Amino acid sequence: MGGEDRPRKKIRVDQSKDKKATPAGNGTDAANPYLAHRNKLPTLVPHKTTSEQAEAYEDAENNLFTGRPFTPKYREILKKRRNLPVHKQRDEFLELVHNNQVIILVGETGSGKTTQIPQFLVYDEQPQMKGKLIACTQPRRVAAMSVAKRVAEELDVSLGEEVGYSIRFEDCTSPRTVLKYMTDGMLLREAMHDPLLERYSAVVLDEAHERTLSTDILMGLIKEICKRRTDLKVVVMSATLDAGKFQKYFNDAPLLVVPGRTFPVEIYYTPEPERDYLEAAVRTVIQIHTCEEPGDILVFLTGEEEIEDACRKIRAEIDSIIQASPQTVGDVKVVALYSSLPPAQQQRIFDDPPPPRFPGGPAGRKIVVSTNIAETSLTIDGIVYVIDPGFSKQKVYNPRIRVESLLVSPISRASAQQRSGRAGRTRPGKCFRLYTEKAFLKDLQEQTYPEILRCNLGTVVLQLKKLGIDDLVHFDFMDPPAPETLMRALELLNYLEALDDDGNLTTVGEQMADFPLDPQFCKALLSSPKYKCSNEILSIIAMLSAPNCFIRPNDQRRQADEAKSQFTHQDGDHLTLLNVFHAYKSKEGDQSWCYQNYLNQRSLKNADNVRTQLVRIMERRGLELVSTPFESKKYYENIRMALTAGFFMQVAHLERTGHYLTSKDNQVVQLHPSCGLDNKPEWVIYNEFVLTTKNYIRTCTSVRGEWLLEVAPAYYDLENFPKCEARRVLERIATKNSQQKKRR
Amino acid sequence: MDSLKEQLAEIHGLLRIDPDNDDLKNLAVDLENLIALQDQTLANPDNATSSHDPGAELGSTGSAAVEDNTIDLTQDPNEFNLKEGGKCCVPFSVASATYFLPAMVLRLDRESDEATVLILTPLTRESRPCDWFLDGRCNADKCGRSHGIIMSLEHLLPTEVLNQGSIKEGAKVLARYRDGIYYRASVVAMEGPDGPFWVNYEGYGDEKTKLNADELVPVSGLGVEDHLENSGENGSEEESESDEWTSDSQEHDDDNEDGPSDETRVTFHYGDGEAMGTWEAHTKGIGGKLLAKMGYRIGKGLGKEGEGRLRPVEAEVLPAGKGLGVVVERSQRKRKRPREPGDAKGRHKRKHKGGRDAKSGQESEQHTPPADVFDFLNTSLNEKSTKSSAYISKPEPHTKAKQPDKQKLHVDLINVQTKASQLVAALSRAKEALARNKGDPKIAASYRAKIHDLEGTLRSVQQSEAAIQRRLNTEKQKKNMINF
Repeated sequence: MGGEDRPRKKIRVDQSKDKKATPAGNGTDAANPYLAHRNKLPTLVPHKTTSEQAEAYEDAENNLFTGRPFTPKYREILKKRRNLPVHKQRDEFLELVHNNQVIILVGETGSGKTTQIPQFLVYDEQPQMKGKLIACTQPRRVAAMSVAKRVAEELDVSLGEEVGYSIRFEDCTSPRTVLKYMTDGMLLREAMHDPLLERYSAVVLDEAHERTLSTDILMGLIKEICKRRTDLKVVVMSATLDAGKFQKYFNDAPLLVVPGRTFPVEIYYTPEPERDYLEAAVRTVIQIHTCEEPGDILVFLTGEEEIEDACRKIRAEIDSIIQASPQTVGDVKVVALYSSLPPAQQQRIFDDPPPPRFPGGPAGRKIVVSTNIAETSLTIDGIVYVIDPGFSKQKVYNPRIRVESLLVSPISRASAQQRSGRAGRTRPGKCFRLYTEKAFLKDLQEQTYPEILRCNLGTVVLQLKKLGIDDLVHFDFMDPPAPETLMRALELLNYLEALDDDGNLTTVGEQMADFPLDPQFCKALLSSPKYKCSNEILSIIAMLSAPNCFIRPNDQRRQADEAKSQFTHQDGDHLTLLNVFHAYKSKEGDQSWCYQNYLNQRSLKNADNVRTQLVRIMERRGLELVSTPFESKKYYENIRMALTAGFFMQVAHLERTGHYLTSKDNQVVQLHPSCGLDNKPEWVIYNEFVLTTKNYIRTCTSVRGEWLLEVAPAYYDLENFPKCEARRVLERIATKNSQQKKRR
Repeated sequence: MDSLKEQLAEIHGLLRIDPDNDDLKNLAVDLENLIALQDQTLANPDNATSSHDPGAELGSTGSAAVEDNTIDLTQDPNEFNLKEGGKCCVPFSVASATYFLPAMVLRLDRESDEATVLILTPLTRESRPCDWFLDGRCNADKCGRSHGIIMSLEHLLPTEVLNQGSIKEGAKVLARYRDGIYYRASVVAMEGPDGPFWVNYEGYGDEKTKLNADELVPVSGLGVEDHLENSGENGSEEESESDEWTSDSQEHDDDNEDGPSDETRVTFHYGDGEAMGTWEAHTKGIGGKLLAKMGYRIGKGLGKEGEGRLRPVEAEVLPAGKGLGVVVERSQRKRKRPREPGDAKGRHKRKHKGGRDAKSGQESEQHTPPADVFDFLNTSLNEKSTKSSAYISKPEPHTKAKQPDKQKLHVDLINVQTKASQLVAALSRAKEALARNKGDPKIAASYRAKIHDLEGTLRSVQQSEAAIQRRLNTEKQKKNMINF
């Protein structure tokens, strides 16, 4: 509260002295060579500005934030900005912000809300005057980066200066930053050190309709913070019309609706359910291309593999058609879009469609095959046809067997509507739904379940505890998770020694909350100095945090597998990853070496970057960076033991029948085909449980029963261990151990 | 013994003054039971002394040892309460089941209508009696063992509930394991009428263990036959509040005599008998404990007003590549079941509880001597629910589709017949072509292959034609059987 009052008073004093004083001019007026221009400009009083005043600054000679003259490019962009739908409601927006602490804003993608609203706030808040800044959260890293870049251009400043971004493992801001785009997860992390978000004078939660885990938690936090910081302004932005829920949650906050520029979209359903939606999607693309008018096509599929497969099929089919009738069928450009694609390739979706092959010939067409990234967060102009098979990959967590998995699931009606809306961005369009109208009405649920209901809450509970929230049962979640999910999270953290038996954060827990990693990883990392292998564990965790580094093209599987086998360590995939990382470092990240060995250089680079960040946190925390001598027999054993210290709850035991059972939950699992363990060790720790028609465990390393008892006696308390083969084996070990002790 | 009778007399006196006091009435009844129990215990001293046998395992929790040590220890002559180390039977919830277990009364508190009891056959680690405490030497707040459970008097039952005589070959029992905890097992053999017994722990393979009679308790209670399928119908406690989740939890498991409530291991239930967090049987139960500490109320969700959902969102693995309508048809058939008893969730639970439950199911089929009324109730309930689930798993169309079925059969028949005649024509054409092209081996070979294929298809079509004919005939016959 005080933080906000003071500058305001200052300005009032200034005004009384000199009516033409500018907000930026406090005390330095005489020295400022640009003062002459500025003095003609209106005074900006925080929380009292009008669009007219702000526009005067935008149209001025010099940049309010840098003092430099505006470039011609800026003026060009400004013209376009003024045409955005959201611009027309600038005054309406300002008035709502002035009179309310929280407002809800609903606007279609393309209304300009993501880029413009934070800028409106910057002019209204003048955060630089109070030494504060404005945060705008994005669910996706790519979006945070690309929007920040765009807005830096729009404000005519350099990225990382006045406008910056902050994502996990990458902070691109400076002390001069007034507007920061960041992932919602990053803002949540910052809240752990700044519980009232005092660095910020306003927070914009963008894409709130996506209901990511972090956005949901942030909303709960911000609701609390608002009670204590009446000066904090909050704008919650959503792309769907289901704003009522947000309004109600924020105590009937006012709503501003920004109409998008949309054209009508005709919707077609299939008369019969499709046997194979991928094949149906390809068929529909071909039909559109051969029969429909020019206009680009957007196809929604579920994942990387499927998308690449579809792209190949579409290209092959259309090539053969073009060969058959070159006079009537135009060229196509087929572009894939998914989040693990490198940014440069993602940019290809904005390429123009290919021109006609000959003057007057049939028009070319761009075909984008995408995951649901293109549903709301990215806008592709020129899309006229949308093909929607009705599926997306969604995370689901089952607390009863502790399995979190990405499953292909039917989308919701809300999603289906979003998808069809993509067709009407530039002119009237068509949406082909590869399911029946009956299925749409009866089989799809109204809304997608928010992420908080579908994921493991380990990290969230740790963060909330760190934020000082003790009563998680009555935390004001917008959609509270199931009690069992919370039970599991508390249990996990307790066994990892992050929470004591009274539910209080321990020192270990405090340290764990510092790392932007899953609790299991944190625990392995924190235990690693004890096992003299923190350098190695850092590398392994960095590798696991980066996208998969192994490339396995469909037509070169054998070669790829051979290349991988050079790195394979017989004791486990974690060690294989370590080998890859060491090899990569010894080749100094050589690109052609990566290419020859079927390794993804970008993900290795990413891992290296992550490792550097983690090293910094380790150093800050005073954690030792050590290695066991490589010649020592214990080198790999120590690493495996440190991993066990973090992953003792993700263990599978080989039964006499030849299959693995997960410890305590007794789920039958198999080693994933990508696993390099060929001798089926008795005990393995695993990084991931993959739920498909078969249950796989991925990234496994062999461990010993003795270690489990040694590292996690509380979890491997045999008195409550379910009766099974694993228990008997452990009991034998325990007896042996106690006999040995007696002998000593 | 005498003090009990004195107290009973006193209560009867009080009742005369205040005849409507239900608490007093209950107490009187309880006391009467207790006295009866005491009589019994005194009459059967062999049971009580057995734990002094040299064969008894270390850390024995046998009843006699307990009694000897505690009577004077817990006695507080200033308070108006009567307690002997009397035996009783208490309900104890583990997972979704409530077992009746023998216990010893440590203290009776008339004012709060509560008793402190010590379970003699612990089913969980925390409920094992603390030997140190019984010796008066345990001062730790959280020694990890039980110092007695406080429970309402009305929950105490006479020991007759447990029919020790029902332990015979094939019976289901709770058997002591070397960790001092009792597990479900079945008796596979007995060497004499009073033991020793050979038991087989459920889900523990075929290993047999020899135990004495005092190390076995018959299984009885609510939902103990099969943890999964006790719907709201069984047990009066659950019946009353079966719409949502029931709340007969909290009281159970270990508790310090006057320790903080957070020492309780908490088990939460759904109203349909399904328990929350069943996995906690195999953990230290910290999740439920912390949830309870944060003020979680049974039957509520999380959130400010407890408005959150109760059950987690369920995952469903769909067949790869199938279109939406196709997929949903399949999953709906699946989804329909969960609303019913013995549903998919039950099965799901059985799955992650490992072999234990599956095994118990088998066993109940093999040998079911109705040990007592509870066993009977449970078996009959189980039968009902398995029956009903079998019903549900039958796809509906079977019953509905009878009428259109016949029409469809006719249509199919016509289709098949036309196809067959087409095939015959094609076949003869191909044969002609083969005859024409005998000179050219390549073409002849291809025609031969074609003929072979056609013959194959024709055969299968003819077969399906025959099948349809047969079905039509049976339909007719059925009709004839009905129409006289």
